Amino acid sequence: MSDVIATVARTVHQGTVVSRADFRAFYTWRTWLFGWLVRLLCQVLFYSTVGVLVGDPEYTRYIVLGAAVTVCVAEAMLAVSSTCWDHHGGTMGLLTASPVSPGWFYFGRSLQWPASSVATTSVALLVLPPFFGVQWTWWQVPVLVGLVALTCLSTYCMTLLIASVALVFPEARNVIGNITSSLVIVVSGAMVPVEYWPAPVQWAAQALPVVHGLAAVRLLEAGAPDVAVAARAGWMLLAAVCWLAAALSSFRWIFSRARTDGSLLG
Amino acid sequence: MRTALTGFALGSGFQVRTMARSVDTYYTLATIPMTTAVLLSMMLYSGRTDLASYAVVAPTLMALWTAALVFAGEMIADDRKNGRLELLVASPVSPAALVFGRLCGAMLVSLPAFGLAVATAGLVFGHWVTVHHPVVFVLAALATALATAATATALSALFIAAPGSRIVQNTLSMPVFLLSGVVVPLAFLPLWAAAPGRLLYLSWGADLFRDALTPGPVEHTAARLAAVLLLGALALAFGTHTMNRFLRRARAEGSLSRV
Amino acid sequence: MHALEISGLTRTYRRRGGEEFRALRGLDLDVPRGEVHGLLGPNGAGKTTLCKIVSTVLLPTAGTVRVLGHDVVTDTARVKGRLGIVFGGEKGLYDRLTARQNLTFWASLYGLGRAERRRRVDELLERVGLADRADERAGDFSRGMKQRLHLARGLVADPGVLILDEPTVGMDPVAARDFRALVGELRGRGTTILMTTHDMAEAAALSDRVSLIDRGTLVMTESPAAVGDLVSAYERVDARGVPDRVRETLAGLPGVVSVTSPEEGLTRVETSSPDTTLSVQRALVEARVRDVARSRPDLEEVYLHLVGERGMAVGE
Repeated sequence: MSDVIATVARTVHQGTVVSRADFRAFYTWRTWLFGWLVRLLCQVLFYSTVGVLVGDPEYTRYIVLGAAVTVCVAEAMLAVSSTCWDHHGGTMGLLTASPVSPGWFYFGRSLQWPASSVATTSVALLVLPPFFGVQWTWWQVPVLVGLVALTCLSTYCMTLLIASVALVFPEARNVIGNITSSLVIVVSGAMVPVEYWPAPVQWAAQALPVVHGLAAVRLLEAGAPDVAVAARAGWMLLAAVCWLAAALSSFRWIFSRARTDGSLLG
Repeated sequence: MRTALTGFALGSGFQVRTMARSVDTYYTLATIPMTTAVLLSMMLYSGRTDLASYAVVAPTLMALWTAALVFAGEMIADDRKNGRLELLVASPVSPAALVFGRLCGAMLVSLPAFGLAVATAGLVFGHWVTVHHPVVFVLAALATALATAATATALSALFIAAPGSRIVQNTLSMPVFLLSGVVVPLAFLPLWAAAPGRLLYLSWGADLFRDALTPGPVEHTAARLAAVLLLGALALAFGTHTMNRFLRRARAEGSLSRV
Repeated sequence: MHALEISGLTRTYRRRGGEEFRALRGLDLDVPRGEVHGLLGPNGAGKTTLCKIVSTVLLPTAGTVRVLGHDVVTDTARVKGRLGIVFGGEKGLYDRLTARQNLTFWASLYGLGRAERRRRVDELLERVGLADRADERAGDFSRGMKQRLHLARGLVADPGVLILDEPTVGMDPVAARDFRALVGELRGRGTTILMTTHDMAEAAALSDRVSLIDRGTLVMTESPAAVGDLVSAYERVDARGVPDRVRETLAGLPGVVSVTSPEEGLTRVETSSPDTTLSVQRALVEARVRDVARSRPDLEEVYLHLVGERGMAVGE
């Protein structure tokens, strides 16, 4: 058992080595701060101003929280693209030939995005809502950051399953990522309550980790009891574990399927 | 002038053919229904059905600007990487006109984009948009598309002359959507945010589009169209100048084909 | 037990439109331990498919492959741990990682512990001559350096069997020479190597035995010396300024295989024995043809004789 854990830890760690190098090639701290972060903050403002347009301050506060939390969705979704980078780099065949457990490797491989999104989402959530009348007390800040971290990681688990699918259609990776993240934002209760949508959509939305993460943040803001916030976080983690399990099996299945049809090897 | 016209015609024709065959074009369009759904659900949820047309205009303009950013960033870089840039510069057409032509062709993507936004609003939400001022609408569409292509030409020249600036390519989407009021008119923003927004052609275009879909009379149509076109022309002049200067310098230094 | 036991190996691909393409058709091949085995054949012959199946990234349609006694289909994990692979070309490295990071990455995935990993990576960097560039990004390396890093990567788990698929493709002559020295060194250590190439000279210089494969089947397996004998079975005489009348006479001599004109003014007579060669030379001297030279075809021409004139033109 400890052997298995050691192997998993080693595999994830090596994934993060690649992930760190990719991240550094992608951003300098300047481009991250003034490019990426500013872009994401503008995205939150973009949606929040719709609240101003319709002339409802209460609704504006609702939107700004939703838009800030769902910042992590778009960023975690970048894992769909980075999972496919091994295709272009020609390392896919070598990975298939190695004794690596593909799911855990890919878990580490794109970990840079949820890590970055903990920072971007926290900043978005702490800085922008106060301009629209949301006030955080000092003790709420660590809880909020903790909730954000869990939401980012849980959303990332969901993304991994989608990334494994994208591995089969690597040329469609960007569209798969974009469509999924917009779809999640539509039904997640970020801009309009989940209850706005037809019942089947509401049920399906419960499977999305971010739905629970966002609900927990809204409960925290409303001053709900700790138990209620913790319960929502628990549901989110449960969803995340299910997504991760599905993603691990999916990667395993795709790698073994690749051996029969010779795909993935480029 | 003739070389400019030839370049323009060649470029736009080439782009339309390339785009029709490229899967990427269809991918760009795939998120339109989602954007429409987000914005429209917000209007309808808050009971502002009168603003529903805003949620149809915005995704169209967003697709236009996104296409401009993507093509401006990749067009010349691709040509350069594949060694086509030298051949283009050696040919008798005006390079800036060729790029402008290609980008104008790329703007045709807004037609299916608008169609998709209208269809989403109608089929999913049962809200069919009426074009109350068709002439203003068509003129606004033409002027905005031309100005977008012109601005993209300027960006394209900037990206090639200062490759480091390409880093802004990905970040120029949301700030521009916000500052040019593609969803929320500048009138709703504080003055310090609205003032720079007025320098963006897109803010004038967005206002015209919305007015064309609203029953009330459209005021100062000609002046506002002129504002869109003037800002576009300025961008095109800047783009042409920058590109020519860059190519002259690159020819002198022999750095044309260097990636 | 052989290091590689391949029997009845068949692999069929389904192309778009449902049409089937057989890359390997019942191929049999045994490679003893410690042998360097050259696999020769034109593009599309099935060499790469064979390498992929042996390296466990592709399943056979029929037949078996055993690596050091372990079946590639049923005992995949054991095979993976005992096998190193080097695919030719520049791809397959993490360009944004340094040479050391690349090697450490794979060493770790192959289950080497921390201390062993460090020792092994240092040793390999030294061996492929990259020790003083170890902390530079692989993406900035020249082609030859990348290829050396690839080889080090393939050796990271100290494999008993090494698969080299077109390892010197695109290498400059100096890099290729260094590479061959490395393969020689590995042979000295008893590593079994299966190496594909379409460079005859490379195969002849490095291999203990050479197999020719064409259209998915084995044409022959011989030692380079035996291939050399095959080469000497053919001789040829090149002459310039041969009158047509004399050409007809030469073509009629017993033992003459062919009379061709590979270029303007040049006549090439291929013979099947040294005796025939002598009578051809005599006939040319009698006809007062002065410009006469006797030569042997190189390995490449024999190879072309065997696989036909399709040469390298066939795409995979």
